Amino acid sequence: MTYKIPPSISSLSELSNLMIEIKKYSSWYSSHSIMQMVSKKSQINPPKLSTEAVALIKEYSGGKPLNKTILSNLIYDLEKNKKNNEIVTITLAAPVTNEIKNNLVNWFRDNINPTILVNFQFSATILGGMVVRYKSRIYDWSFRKKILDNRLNFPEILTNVQ
Amino acid sequence: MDQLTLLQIFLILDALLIGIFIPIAIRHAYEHFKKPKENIVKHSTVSPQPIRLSPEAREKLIQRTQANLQAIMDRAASEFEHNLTEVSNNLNRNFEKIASGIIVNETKRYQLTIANLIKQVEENSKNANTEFENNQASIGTELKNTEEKLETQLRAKIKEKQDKLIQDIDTKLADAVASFLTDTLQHNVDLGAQNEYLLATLEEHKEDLKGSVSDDI
Repeated sequence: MTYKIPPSISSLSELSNLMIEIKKYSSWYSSHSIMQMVSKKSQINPPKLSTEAVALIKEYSGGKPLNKTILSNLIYDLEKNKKNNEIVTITLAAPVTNEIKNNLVNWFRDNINPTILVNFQFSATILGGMVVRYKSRIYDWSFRKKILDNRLNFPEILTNVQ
Repeated sequence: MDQLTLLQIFLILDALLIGIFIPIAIRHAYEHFKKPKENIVKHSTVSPQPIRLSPEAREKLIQRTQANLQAIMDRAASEFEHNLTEVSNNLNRNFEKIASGIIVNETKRYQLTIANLIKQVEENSKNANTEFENNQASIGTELKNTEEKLETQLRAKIKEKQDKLIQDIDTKLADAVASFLTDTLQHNVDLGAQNEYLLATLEEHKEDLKGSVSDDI
């Protein structure tokens, strides 16, 4: 089943936390279902889910009523996704803000892979732009690289300045 | 030529000497053989008888014979001297003639040789002058060409050096500017302003990313 991890869950640690949340909820749900079947009231309150977990569960269920199977399948898919370990690392010139993080993660999940994970780093030396690293490939789209690549054009531009 | 004239002289001398001595020899031979024949004829008709002469007659005879002999000798000597004088005069005349002829010929030949040499020297001198002028002209042209070539080479080298210096300056200037920008811009970076730029960059390189991600799946 296709699903999209919320953009606020970008890194592996965040995904792991999400999975723990959903697993906790799933185990509560199982016991709750059994209790309901034997018409006994559940004594345990449902665990609090984060908005991301709620959104993910809702999306995964596709509007259908929630059941144990859906939760198990979701956990299974998340485990599989974690195992595949598709992670992209983006280095920016400053610590990433939430807005930019969501925008970038959304872009990767919309265009590349809905379950891709994105790590963020920062290094002021790149001056601006970003450096994208995926396994052995690195794409340097930083300002620093652009300046250094075009430094030889500077004298020509200088001579053309009136 | 000298050898031939010497040979001629030698042959002429020999001819003259032969001409002198042969008649003398013939005459003496004639006189030598003439008297014994008369004696033989007289003695053959008359039977030989011993002649006895007195010492005075013998002495006279001896003296007369001596005188005759002396006269003959004197005559022969004078004739010989005369002939010798004639021969020497002839020889001298011939020598003079030959020598003068030789001298004239040699002088003519010498003058001709000198004239030829002078002519040759003049010609050589003329040729040398012409060659010298030609060489001067060609040297001048060559010098001019070499000068132009060296000047062109020098200009090219100067231009090359100039271009290299300009390139070095440009490179150093570019490096300085790049260094300045990196030092200046790395502080207080505002990511918010780059939001659109980052998304646009990702859009621009979408296919590259898709390719790399899908290759490694």
